[in-house]
Amino acid sequence: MITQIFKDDTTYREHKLHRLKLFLIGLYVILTFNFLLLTCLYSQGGKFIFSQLQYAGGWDTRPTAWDRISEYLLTTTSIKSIPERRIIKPNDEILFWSPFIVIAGSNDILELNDSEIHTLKRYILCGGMIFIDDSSGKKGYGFDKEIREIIKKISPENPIERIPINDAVFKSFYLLKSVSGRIITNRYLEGCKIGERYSIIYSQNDLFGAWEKDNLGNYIYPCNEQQRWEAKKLLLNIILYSLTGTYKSDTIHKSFIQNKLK
Amino acid sequence: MKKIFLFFRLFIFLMLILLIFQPIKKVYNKRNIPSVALLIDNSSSMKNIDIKQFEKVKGTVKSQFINNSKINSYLFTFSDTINELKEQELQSLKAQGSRTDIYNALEKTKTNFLGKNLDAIILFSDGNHNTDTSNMEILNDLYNLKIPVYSVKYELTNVPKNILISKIELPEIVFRNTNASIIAKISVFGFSNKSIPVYLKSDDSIIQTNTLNVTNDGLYEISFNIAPDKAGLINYSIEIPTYQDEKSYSDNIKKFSLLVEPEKIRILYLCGQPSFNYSFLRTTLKNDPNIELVSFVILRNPENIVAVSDSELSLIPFPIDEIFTREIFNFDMLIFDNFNYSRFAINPQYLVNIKNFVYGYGKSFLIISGEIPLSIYQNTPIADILPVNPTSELSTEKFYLHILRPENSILKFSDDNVENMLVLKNLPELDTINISTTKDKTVTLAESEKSKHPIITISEIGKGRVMCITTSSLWRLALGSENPYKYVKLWGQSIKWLTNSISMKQVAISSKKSYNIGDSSVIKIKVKDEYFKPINNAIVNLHVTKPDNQKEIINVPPEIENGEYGTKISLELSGEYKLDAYASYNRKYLGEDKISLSVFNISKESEDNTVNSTFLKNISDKTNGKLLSIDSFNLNELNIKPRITKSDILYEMNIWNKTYIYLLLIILFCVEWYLRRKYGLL
Repeated sequence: MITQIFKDDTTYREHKLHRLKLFLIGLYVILTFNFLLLTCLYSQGGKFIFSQLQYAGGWDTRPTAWDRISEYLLTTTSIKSIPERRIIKPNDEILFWSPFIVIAGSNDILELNDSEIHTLKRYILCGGMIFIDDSSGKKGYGFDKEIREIIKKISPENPIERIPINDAVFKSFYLLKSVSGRIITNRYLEGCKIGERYSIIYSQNDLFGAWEKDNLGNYIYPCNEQQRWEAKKLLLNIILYSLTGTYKSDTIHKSFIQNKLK
Repeated sequence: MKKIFLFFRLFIFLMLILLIFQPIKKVYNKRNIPSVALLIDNSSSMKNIDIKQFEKVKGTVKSQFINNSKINSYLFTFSDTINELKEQELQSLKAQGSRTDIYNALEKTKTNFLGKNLDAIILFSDGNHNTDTSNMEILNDLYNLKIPVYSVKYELTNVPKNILISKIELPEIVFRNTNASIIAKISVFGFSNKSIPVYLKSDDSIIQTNTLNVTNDGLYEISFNIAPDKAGLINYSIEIPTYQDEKSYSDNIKKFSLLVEPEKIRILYLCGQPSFNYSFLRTTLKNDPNIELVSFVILRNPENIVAVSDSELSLIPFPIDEIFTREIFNFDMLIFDNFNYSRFAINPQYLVNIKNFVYGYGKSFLIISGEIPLSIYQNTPIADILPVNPTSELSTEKFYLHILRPENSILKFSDDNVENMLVLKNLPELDTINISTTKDKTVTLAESEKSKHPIITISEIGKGRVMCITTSSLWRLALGSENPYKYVKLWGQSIKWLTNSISMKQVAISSKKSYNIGDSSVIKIKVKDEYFKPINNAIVNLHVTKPDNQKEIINVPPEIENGEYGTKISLELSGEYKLDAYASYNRKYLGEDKISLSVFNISKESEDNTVNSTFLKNISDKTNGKLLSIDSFNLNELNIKPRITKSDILYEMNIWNKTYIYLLLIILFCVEWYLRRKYGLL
């Protein structure tokens, strides 16, 4: 009996040890996987990384848009991008590995504390670019009102202004003659210019909404198809602009572009 | 009788109308004798050619003006200032003034005689005006004078044989590889109908020869066109062979220096795909005013499909043939960033051209690896100029830079070595390396901290310079730091090294380098911030150390809205003036620069060895005067007459308020009344 008990105890201990081993192996696998995943996210190897700012409230207004955009970028342009979306918080160190970030908003109010404002201020001064897309379609209150206050704090020296239609943003890939969107709240884009480049671009036309599809491949948000296409082109141009700056305003392009626009 | 009455009435009526207009009678001062100001140039140049001519001036003034009852003469003598000359001082007057300021002399004369009568100015001078006011400015201002100026010039007779380089006119700014002209003014006496070679030398080597064809004695101009191929301070001299019996041999040579500014650095930037690396580097290069950037980034590859017509795309054709055959040689630097040459129909010869661009033409090449490893250039002419032997392996590890050459100018973020090391140790983390090994003569500036792969390498290949960056994440130096200063500075210094340029200073002082005693030096200081943008409200101090070791600090004010500051300093001592310019902005030190000026103990007057008849004639023509010769000067022939000017009014008389006028009117009325009554016409 005693032996049996002892035996049982030994089996129990072995079993426990085995479970511990399995747990440790599992932990090791998970940690390794996470490390590799983290390395993959961090190591972008010169590729374009789509990063989106996470904040308290409805930050993820168009969760699948990037999947569509990345496929389109791959087939249409020479841009090499990382397929995964990087989600970052304003004070994450990884923000400074992401030269292009998106702030999407709808009806929820975006609130950033002083430290986060300071971080974003440093971010744009060091060469980062922020694209803000408001899908609410409402001007003057809610997200629009809040984000304008935040822009004032992030870029006090370079206030927000309308981006002229002849700016490089509108010709970085497609030649655009007007500003479109899934909804057309404004017939213009706005931005804060640091040096010769817009470091903040603000659209109120739900540009990401134009890309959003359900699992069956149907567009979720209704829109005139021509308008949707124009919205897609504009968003693509903004991404190209973040990677090439005012390249298309260079003298060498002027005569070609003027001829095409005739 | 009726006619007489009509006449009376009309006369009275007219008288009344006249009185309504309050007539005034002006009585003028009658002058029979003209007043003349005699301006005698007593600058040193008046004795340079022939002292007898100066004595002749004094003799003429004495014989024709002093004690001449037909003219009121006011004597003045001038050089850098104008002074009244008493008759008894005339004989002892010496030509020893250090400058000739004709403008000041004429202006002061006009001011002195304001409100007084002056009918003419007689100017005895050689016409060698030599202050900062140009001859053209003087002539433009002369219309204000409104007094005829009779210029009396020297006659050049019995001048000893001599060839003299009297003046060299240099362009204010000379750019590298840009044409500039140097004009030498040469006075020649006694070499009529002779061809004289004139040499332009640089560091004792003849770089150009021109021939001066002398017909008569006088002043000649000869110009040299240069296009310096180096930037910096270059010493030149203009030399003329010496001939027998010349009065002086030392004046056949004139040395000078030119500060050659580099032209904009022309960079051709080819990038294989849009990337953050391209975006950051392009913005940095575009913001640098010293750089002219032409860039091509491949936005679409042949396999990419775009569902719109070409006219809706902003894409332009990539002019491969044009770039790699002709245009490349117009650039100072070529950048390949993640650029895969094999994607384009690039003729193998084009890669040879790139090699020659560096090796033979001495240009620079920067190559940056990205997703495309540099190993694609193996077994091509490009491999010969790469500082590394690349592999096709890309390591995605994150790494810190381990600086191997902190003393190298490319990695100098601070002049203080300790501070510099601190900056270099705290550079942000990077990622992805194209693994490679260095070649023999390569200098590795930085490697990855743990894996020891070369990251930043440089080498001198033939006449040119090459830099290789084996990571595409260098933009992290901007975005991963507190400010983009280190990134901008690193590239600024890299381009400076690659193009062998001296221009990329934040504070740059410039001025002419050699002067004669008594000259003024115009100092220009350009101030830029760490991103090479001009700053207009910096604090700029100029520390001047004079030849006697006396020191002076001058606060230099901004001049124009492009970060340029300027001041003028008088060079009263001969020797070396040392100038140190320091600039700061918002308590932040921007940099410093220094130059030294050589001041020769030669007065400006000694440069003038001839008579500037043209200038004297122009002065006379502008003022309705005449150009005369001292040899044939005759006051009587000038026929100067007193001019009546408005200020000559002796007095004015109001006619309308005189009692007798009204008495006359009353009498006329009474007579008229009496006669009418007498003849029964009332």
